[in-house]
Amino acid sequence: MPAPDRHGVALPIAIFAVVVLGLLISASFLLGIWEQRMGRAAVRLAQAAGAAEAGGNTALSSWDSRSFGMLTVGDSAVLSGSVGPEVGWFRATVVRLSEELFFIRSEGFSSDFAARRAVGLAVHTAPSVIDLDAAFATSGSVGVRRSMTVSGQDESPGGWDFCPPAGADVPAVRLGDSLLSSVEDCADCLLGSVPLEVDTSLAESALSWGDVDFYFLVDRASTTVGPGPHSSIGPRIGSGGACQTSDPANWGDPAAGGPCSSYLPIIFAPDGARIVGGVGQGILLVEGDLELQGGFSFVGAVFVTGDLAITGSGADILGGVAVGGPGEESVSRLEQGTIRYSSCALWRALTRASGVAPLRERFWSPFF
Amino acid sequence: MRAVNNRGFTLVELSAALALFGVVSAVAFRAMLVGQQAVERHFAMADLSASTRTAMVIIPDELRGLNATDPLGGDIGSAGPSSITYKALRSLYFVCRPPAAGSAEVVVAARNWGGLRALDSQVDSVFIFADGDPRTPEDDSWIRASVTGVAPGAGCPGGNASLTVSLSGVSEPGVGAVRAGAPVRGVEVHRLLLYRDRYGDFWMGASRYRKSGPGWTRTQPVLGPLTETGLRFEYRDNSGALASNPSLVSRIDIKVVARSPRKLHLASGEVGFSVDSLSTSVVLRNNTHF
Repeated sequence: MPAPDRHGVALPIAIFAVVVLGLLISASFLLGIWEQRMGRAAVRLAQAAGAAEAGGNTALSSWDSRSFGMLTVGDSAVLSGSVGPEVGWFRATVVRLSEELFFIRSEGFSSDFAARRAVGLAVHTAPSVIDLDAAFATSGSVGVRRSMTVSGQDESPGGWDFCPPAGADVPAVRLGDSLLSSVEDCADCLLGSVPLEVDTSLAESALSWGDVDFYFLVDRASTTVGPGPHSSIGPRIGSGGACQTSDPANWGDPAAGGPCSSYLPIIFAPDGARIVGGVGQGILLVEGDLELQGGFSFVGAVFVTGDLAITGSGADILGGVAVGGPGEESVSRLEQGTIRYSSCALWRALTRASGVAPLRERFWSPFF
Repeated sequence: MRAVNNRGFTLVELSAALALFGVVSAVAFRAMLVGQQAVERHFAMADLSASTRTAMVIIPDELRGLNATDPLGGDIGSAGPSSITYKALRSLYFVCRPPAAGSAEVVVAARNWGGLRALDSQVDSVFIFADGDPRTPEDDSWIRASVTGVAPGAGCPGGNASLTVSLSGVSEPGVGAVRAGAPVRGVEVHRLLLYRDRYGDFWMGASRYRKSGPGWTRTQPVLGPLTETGLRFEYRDNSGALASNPSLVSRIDIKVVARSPRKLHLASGEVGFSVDSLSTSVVLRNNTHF
């Protein structure tokens, strides 16, 4: 019996159906991958944006005055961190634009670094709560000799063209008890709105200003020095013409235009200090006694917990001086030189220790 | 010799085979068609999804940096349900040298931190941060001025690259209150709107305002096609209520409804446009905050 003819259409149809089904499955698979990739891209973008915002907010909220506050105009410092291993990373660059303005450029990256976003924040130094309201303030006793001038007439250091207009005159000396002053008979020793002003709030300490005190500033010190005597204080310029801020004898340069002119360190002398000549600017914090002579010239704020003696060939301080920590029976002997009040010098020095706040409006910028 | 197999198909067998083939072919074709439509629909949905997601990147990026509450005049010009006119940030520079009082120009460092494009005197105005007394924020403000010219040079300290930006219509307190380091924000008047093209399709379009000449540039399609109500803005104040005027806006709710470019076989069996939507809210970051 001959074999039956088994040719038919079932096989071609089955093959066709398998091909069609395969194509449909492949298309669905591709579509799924596409959708998944789009979703992932959106997630990455959101991660990067979140990380960029977190970077800016971190730089703002944990403002590091030791590194950011010490930046010279035009210089920058970088802060980087993680928002969490599953979220992303940030790299915030803090640029000092001027004495009072900073710009934070924060780049955010997704957890796998495949996406990047950036934002910018313009911030301003916060107003200082430290207000001496005198050229010289003390909680203890003060003796002023005829060869010394203490002036509360507000003036700006020469060449500091960024200073705002000078303000009203302030007292030459503020002290906690009028019985603790001894001023030699002279016409020009004490200048200002009044020669002497008694302020009983100083009786306890001249180094406390609301929530801020001497030790708040000490925590932000950028340079620590021994008792000395220091006879070579002055700006240090490296071979490349850059200011050598790592040298503890470099206390900046109050003369405008030099490489160290925008370097204003916060100097802390934990065991008292004796300074003979030299020049500097910033904030000088002395725990113990301070002796100045040899024509030492300083622009900024000088705060001393113990005794102050300006003797010999004296010293010139432009800014303000406060003497007398809590519980200290401080004695100030002002014999030779000048202490002149400068609201601009005080402001500029104190910005090195202050925090920052965003501009009141239009502080935020997206970057592309 | 073997007998020749003369056996053939009867008419009934042939008819049955043809009928069976037809049924199987129809089922296979139908399956293929349904599959193809499903794939087409899903690709369209993926496209729509991409469109709406793109919109949710573009629009918030544009609007987040606005300051609607500036007492000297906010950044939102007009705020409609399907359009918004605003001052869009396009560049960011910093003053490198304090300008002279009464001057009508500022010198900025040449680096553009904004990065979108350089200052363009045809369309741009600027906001310049004025900080008369840096010891207090009380007198801080933003000067407004129109850019009339931008000249490159080396006018920054140290001979560094600069742009000298010539200005007109400088508002109070004048550039004399501008200090070195002040930010300069270059902005253009920009419009996002829902518009209908000549084929009847709706798009999100954008145009910008030229200070001289024909005014608004031709509206360019940015995203679409959208549905007839495919771009919606709702403006809310601090309390979350609808803002009664643009100067009170602190948040903008955005909804984008995209549709497929052509009609598709929908899952319901009907033929129509596939539609997808996405909503988001944008808080205006640069509003006056204290």
